[in-house]
Amino acid sequence: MKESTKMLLHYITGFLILITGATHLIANNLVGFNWIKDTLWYPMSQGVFLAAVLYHAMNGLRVILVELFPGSSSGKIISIILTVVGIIFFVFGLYFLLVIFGGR
Amino acid sequence: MNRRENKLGILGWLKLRGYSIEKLMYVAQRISGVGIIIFLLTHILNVGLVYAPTKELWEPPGIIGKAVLVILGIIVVFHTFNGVRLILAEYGFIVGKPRRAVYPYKMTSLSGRQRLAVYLVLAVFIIIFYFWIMVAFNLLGW
Repeated sequence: MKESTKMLLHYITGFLILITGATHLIANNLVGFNWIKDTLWYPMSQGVFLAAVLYHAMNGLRVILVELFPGSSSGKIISIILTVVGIIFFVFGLYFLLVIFGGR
Repeated sequence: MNRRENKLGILGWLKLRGYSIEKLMYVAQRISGVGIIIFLLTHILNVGLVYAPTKELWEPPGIIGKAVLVILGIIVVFHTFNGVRLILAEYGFIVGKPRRAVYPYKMTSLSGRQRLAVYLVLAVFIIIFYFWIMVAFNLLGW
């Protein structure tokens, strides 16, 4: 993947986080907005939130690490490690999301 | 490419003297980002392993957890608004048109609307910081 594509995805996921993360905070913290959690859209948006936030986090970490350790080989190692960590956390998170919101 | 291209490493973040305010924002964006990542990963594991099996609502664990949450709120707000500014600057919405380099050369990307956006980010940050401190005092029970 080109570097510019990765960064475009970084910005797109940033906006997705802005929307779904706000939903997450409002539904969980504001009294009177608990009904959001009873809709079907809420777990779906939280799945999007999980994927977007993990991509955004891992790409942000990658940008920092690639800048601190320049070079194409170290860049590849960093990318592979962070992709694996991201996928592991996504699978974990999705499983937990299904545990919490499943059976309804 | 070799290592020597970034000799200073992470210490380069501390070099703010002689740089514009955007350098400070850049460093703050990175530090806040790393802080959010640490919270995010522990939050996923914490909620998933401790709260998901019993379907309880997540509560920040103890007074330290709440204090961490207060700091997290501040840095998330900063990261969000500065991130929007960075996207606008990246795709050229606020950096202005390139100009001929005549003597008192003023970079359009470091002045005008971009600089205004920096001040706007800082202003919104300070305003929300104030309200957040009020909420935090309530939350911490002071």
